[in-house]
This record gives sequence, C-alpha cells and structure tokens, in this order.
Amino acid sequence: MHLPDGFLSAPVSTVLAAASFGGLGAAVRRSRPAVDAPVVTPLLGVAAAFVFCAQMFNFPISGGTTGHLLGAALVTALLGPWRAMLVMASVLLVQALIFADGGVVALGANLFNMAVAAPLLAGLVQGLVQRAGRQARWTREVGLAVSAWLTVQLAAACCAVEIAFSGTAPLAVVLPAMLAVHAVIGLGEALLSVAAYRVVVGARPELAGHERPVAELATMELWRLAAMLALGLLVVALAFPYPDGLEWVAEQQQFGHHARDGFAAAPLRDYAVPGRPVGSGFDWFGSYLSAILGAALCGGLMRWLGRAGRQAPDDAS
Amino acid sequence: MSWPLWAQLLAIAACGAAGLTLTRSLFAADATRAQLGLEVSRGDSLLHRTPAVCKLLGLLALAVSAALLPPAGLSVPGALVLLLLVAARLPLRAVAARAAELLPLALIVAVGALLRGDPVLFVATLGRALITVAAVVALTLSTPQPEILRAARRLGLPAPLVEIIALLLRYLVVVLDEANRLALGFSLRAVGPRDLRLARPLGRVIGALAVRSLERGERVHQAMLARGYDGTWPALQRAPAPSVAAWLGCGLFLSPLLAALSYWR
Repeated sequence: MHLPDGFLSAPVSTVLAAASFGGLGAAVRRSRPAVDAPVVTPLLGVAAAFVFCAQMFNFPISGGTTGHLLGAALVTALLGPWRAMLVMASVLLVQALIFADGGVVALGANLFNMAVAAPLLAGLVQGLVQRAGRQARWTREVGLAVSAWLTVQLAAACCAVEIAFSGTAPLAVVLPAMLAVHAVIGLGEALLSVAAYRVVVGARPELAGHERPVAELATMELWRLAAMLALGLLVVALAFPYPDGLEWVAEQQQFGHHARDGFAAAPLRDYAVPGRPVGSGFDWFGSYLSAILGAALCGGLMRWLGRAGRQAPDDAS
Repeated sequence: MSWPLWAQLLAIAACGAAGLTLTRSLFAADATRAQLGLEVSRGDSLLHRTPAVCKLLGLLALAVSAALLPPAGLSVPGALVLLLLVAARLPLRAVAARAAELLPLALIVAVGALLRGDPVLFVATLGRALITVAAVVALTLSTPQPEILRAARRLGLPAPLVEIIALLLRYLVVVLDEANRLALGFSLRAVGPRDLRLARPLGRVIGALAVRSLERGERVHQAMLARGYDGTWPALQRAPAPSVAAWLGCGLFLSPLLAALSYWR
C-alpha cells in the first residue's frame, strides 16, 4: 500500500503532507507523559523496529496471493493512538528515506494513510467499542478486530481516492479494486492482530497496560480523534473539486466532451484563481496558492485539534 | 477505451494478484541485512563529502521536479540521478533490487494505461517512481545514517521522531534476527493449509515477537536511565549549516531542473 512517486500529483501530495505534519505535530505533543517531560522514546523505538519486522511476515491468502500486517491497529491497542502515530510514522519515514519503499513526494500521503488516519480511526473505534461494552475484557479484542479491518479498508480507500484525484487512474476502477483486495487482507490483519494481542496480554499483562490511554479515553478524546479524522478525510475528498479521474469517467459516460490534455498538466488544471487569466494550460500562481493555502489551513487545524485541552495527560508512565 | 468496467476491474485485479505473487515469491524470502541495504558504501566521492542537509534537499528537489515535469521533461532529473550514481561509483544493482519492488504496481498501471490507450502515462508514472528510488539509493549509499538523522533534525523533523527513528535503525537488525528465528521455527512447525487459516498461528508468532521487542525496549530504557539518560540526545544534535560553497555546488548541479521546469511550462 506504499505509494511510490509518480502516482500522485504535486497539489494532492502537498496538502496531504501538511495534514500529516499537523497530525504528527499533535501526536508529538500529546504523547508526552507530562507537560514538561520528553516523550519516552526507547520503548517506542524498539516498538517501531517490531512493526517494521512484523510487516515482513507474509500470510497467504487463497489464490496464491499474500498479504502482510499493517500493524496500526495492533500498535494502537498496545500503546494508544498518539504513540502509535509516532511509531507508524517513523516506520514509514525509514521505509521511504532509507529503503526506497514508497515515494518521497508521496511520503505525505503515505504518512496520512497509514500513520495518521489509521491510528486515529483505530483509537476511535477501540475507544467506542470499549465504552459500549463497559470496558469488559472482550471489548478490547472485538474493538481491535473491528478496527484492524477498518484501518486497512480506510488506508486502501484513501490510497484509491488520492490516485484517482491525481488523475493517474479513474476512481471507478481503482476504488472497487483496492477495497475488494483489501477486504480480504483486512481479514488477515484482524485475525493476526487479535492473535498477537492475546499473546502479549497473556505473557506480559502489564506490558499491555500501555493500552490504558485507549481504555480511559474521555469523551473529549474521542471527539477530538473523530474531528481530526473527519478533517483529514475531508481534505482528501474535498480539496480537489474536479478530479481528473472523475472527468475521465464522465467522458466515458458521454457526459463531457472536452479534450483531455497532457497527463502532467491535467491534475493542476482546475486550480485557477478567478480573475487571473489561465495561460497555456497551466497556472503556477493559482494552483500553488490554493495548494499552499489548503496545506496551511488543514495543517494548522490538525495541530490545533491535537493541542487543545492538553491539561489531562494521556497516561502517567 | 471501450472496455466494459467489469472487464477493466477484472484485468487490474488479476494483474495485481499476479504481480504480488511474483515479486513476493522472488524477493520476500531473503529479507536479510544485505537485502535491506543496511551496509553503507565506504566510497569517497564528491557525493559522499556533500553535507547531508544538501543531499536531503536535493533529493526533495529531484522528486518534486519529477512530479511537476511532463513526461518529455523527465529525462532531465533522470539524467542527473544517473550522473550521481555513476560519478559516485554506487552499485546500480542496488537500484535494480529496490526497483523490483515496484513491479506489482507497475503492472497495474500498465494495464490501466493500456485500457486508456495512453502508453505515455505508463512510462511517465514508472519513470517518476524510478527517479525517486534511484535518488534515495544515492542518498543512503553515500551517507551514514546518523548524518541523515542529524540533517533531518536540522530540516525540522521533531526530536522525538528523530530519536525513535535512530532507535528503530539501531534495533532493526536485532529484532530482525529475532524475527528470522521465530519465522524459521514457524515454517518448521506449520504444516497446515496455506491460506487464511494460517493467520492465527502466525499471529501468535508475531505476538511473541511483540513481547520480546517490548521487553527489549524496557531493558534498553532501563539501561539508558542507568547511564544517566535525561531525555536529551547529544549525539543527535542538529547538523551544522552547510558552507556557502556546498550550497553553491548543490544549486549548480540542480540548476538543469530549474531550466527544465521553466522550459516545459
């Protein structure tokens, strides 16, 4: 699910990078045990090494294909959503910048899909399920299973929407394909996560005590997670009102008759600022102004949502 | 252009499955240290001596300009990256090994481009991906990892993330050895059906790896506390600012990108 470069257009990448950086900034602040204390990095560093290695175990899916663990839901269950964001982000940064797995321009989008949106959704779902079940023991495993499947679906859907809005492939093709494949992979993710979580809780219950942030998430926490997730998804969905992929579908269905111009210029075409003449198919000023404005806006909002109400520390370790 | 939607979906799904199987069976087996590219080449070239801050920014400039240039303009960043690799005498097979992981996605894009009757799309997408892969290989094979981290710190990556990444890189090999031992035992024991039913035993193996990793993390933390760790990392300070000469050289080398961007716009 790591998008390489070439699949996403520059504005899509820019806005998603801003959303990711805002979310990660919030995660850095909120994963401090106390206001003045540093983040407890040693445990998180080795946990990140674990996620990196766990992603290498391939499990077979029938038909000869294989899938592998994403790990966002499992790490969220063990460390809480904010720390899980840091762990997943460092894994993705290393994969992109050291091992060339996933693009550099696409890094912001990859971070958003797997290190920001996925842990936020996992924390939200696990918190909601645990609250609905009055914190009973079974709710942790059920919440983990549900959130594991959902995070994989969410990451795949974000991936597909980003590709489509960049004009690389039509949404009507890439979204069902991604969701269908990852419905099965998500099943594997859920089974693997629950089995792994059981082992951790069985062997070292106090290690799994790091899940307390999830279990004790107050109402405020849940709405903040939900707001950040909703904002991020809104960015993915609304920042680009006339995606090239949708235009292609419209063309297929004989709705539109305008000629398709070159691949590279096409995704930026719909960014013209009113009152400024659009030149030969490309408007640097308009497209970059809107991309930068959108980036600043959603990056700042993400940070603010993560920063507000930090009086109650997540946990006391 | 006139293929029905279901046929497109089917073709893309089939190619994706085939590509995934192919690459996994070819390359997943030896995810060892060498495969991970954890060795840093000891060469000495202009690229090796360039400050890591400049190299990180240069990588970004190459990737961004590749994203902005039209297909015809991709030859400029491509030539620059190739020049870097050749001039610094970096092994091209490292690029090939990384590029092989692009294969499944490349197949999907190829089918999509064929269905749209647009082969340029395929070439451009793959070209952009390849340029970034080659540039990242050029960075990592010519720069010690602590240098990259210090440069990232200077460029504004938050300190906790830099510290987590430093520990991730330090303990990756250790946890990987642990994972390989567990995987060996698992492959000797697991004789069941090769499908999703294998997920539960495999999940237990991953859980065991999680327990061992988290315990190691605790030990590392205790050991660091015993040695006076107070939350600061003197070894991971910001990199010093590169000299004017380094900036000038970097800008000179990357100036064709600017020329290409202004020419094709």
